[in-house]
Amino acid sequence: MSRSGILLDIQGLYKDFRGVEVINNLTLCVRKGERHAIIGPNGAGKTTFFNLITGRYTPSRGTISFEGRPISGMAPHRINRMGISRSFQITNIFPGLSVLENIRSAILSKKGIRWSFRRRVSAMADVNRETLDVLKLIGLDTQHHLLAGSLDYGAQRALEIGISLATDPKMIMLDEPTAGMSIEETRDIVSMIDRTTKGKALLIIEHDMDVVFSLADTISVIHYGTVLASGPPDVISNDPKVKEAYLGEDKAC
Amino acid sequence: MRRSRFTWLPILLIIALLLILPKLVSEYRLNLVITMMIYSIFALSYNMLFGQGGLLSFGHAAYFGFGAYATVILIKHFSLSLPMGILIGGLAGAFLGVTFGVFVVRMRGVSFALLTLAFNQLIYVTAEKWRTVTGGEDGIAFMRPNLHLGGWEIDLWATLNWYYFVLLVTVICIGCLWYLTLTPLGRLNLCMRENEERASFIGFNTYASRLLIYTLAGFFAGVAGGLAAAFQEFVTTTFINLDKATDVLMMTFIGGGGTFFGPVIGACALTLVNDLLSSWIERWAIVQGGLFILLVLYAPNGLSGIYLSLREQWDKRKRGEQPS
Repeated sequence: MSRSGILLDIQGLYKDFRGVEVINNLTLCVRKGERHAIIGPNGAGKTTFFNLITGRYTPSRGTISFEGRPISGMAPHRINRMGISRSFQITNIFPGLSVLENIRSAILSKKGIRWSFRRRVSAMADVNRETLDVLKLIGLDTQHHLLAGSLDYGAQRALEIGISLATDPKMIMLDEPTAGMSIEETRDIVSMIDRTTKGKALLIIEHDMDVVFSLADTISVIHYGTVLASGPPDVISNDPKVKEAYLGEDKAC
Repeated sequence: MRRSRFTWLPILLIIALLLILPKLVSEYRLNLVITMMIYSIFALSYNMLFGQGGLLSFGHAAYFGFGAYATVILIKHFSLSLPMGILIGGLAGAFLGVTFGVFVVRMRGVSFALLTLAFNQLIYVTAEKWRTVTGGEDGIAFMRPNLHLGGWEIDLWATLNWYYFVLLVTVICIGCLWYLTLTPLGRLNLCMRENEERASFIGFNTYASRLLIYTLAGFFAGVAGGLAAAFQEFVTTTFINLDKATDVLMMTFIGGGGTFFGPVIGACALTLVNDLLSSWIERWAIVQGGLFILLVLYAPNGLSGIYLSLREQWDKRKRGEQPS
């Protein structure tokens, strides 16, 4: 495989928690613009894998490079500034602030306006315009003045993704964006994800196979902390190893 | 969003009232207002951590006291002007803020509270024992120097001039603190209160940002300390002791940390209550403690919180009566 198109390169990754190996010799690549779904049974290590990439945890061994630069062990804010943004499985927003402010904080960060004292945030026309653009994109522009914590669950999930999108990452990582959603909410959020992440690399953990097949062009199956199989959807769905390890046990979704 | 209702008119009215206040009240009351203004700065600096940042500090008196000592010692030994002395008080508070902040802003919750308390006691004991510099429990007395502006000399010993000087410093400080809440750093402070982890995952260095905010809070506490020392022409360990540290917490809590001006209301209320009760009842601290307990139990958002919920109810009733 040509190395030039590779955005995220993970080689021989390990993570143990007090002797329990959660990630065990995991190797995986994400190319530019690739739509990559991570599937696997509960407890396979998918969220731990996300936490290792985004700096919440430090790997025990192995390397993670993004655009050819090593990022393993970096602080989360530095990894984000390199162009990786993530959402969380459990809704992780700023509940006591307005919806607008939730998105605007991410826009400010993206533009590198962090400690500037020269202007009030409300007077920054470009920041507020970009905030409104993101709000429209996620369909929350009419609710911008409400407290984020007062939104209904589906809207909070959309906001969660919106915050991640607003930092304009090269790669966006979504951890079960449809968890706990109704069928209609799932349909809406999937079309929103599809619309808003065009052109970006997408790494998504998902249990709902319909969602996986509608969004992903590559699927990797993680089982016992390592990649069991990786490839296009039709290859993965016919792989006997995958059927045995994953689809056989956990077909409920 | 709530602030959009908040127009400039009430602020201008209050400033106008404060400007003509010396015509309206006695010198004794004027001194009371000076105390209120100084404590307002102190409480607002505390609220950067408490209300806006979500950090409960038990050691904010350290920066107030350190600033006070710095102002007094430097004015006394180097004959600095008063504005310079107070500015240095602020810088001393900021210096102490960054020094201790390196350690305390790593902590959250109980650890944060206990570590700030420990650092406060460290500074308190230092002030008590290092007699050659601080005068120990006797403290240091000094003369409030006059203000030289161009060829003019303004006698700051006169209550009226001193009042206007404190008013000017207070308006500048409160203006800066308010503006700060509208800047990216001020908004980030709220984000970190709400969800610090999320803030770091969208690219903010939360440790460095917390440290900067802690340092700025130390600066304004130091300015308030310098002003307080210049007011009393005296500094002693009571500027740093635990009473001072809990006083500022109480003021902020009583007024309510959820709004910008809550701590100002708290500072005024506590100063007023102390003044009234101490002349009536010998053990007024018990009454003060009782009031505080009632507020904690029944109005956890303080006086400004009571006001906001009353206004909300009022709005609801008004809408109910005349549906548009």
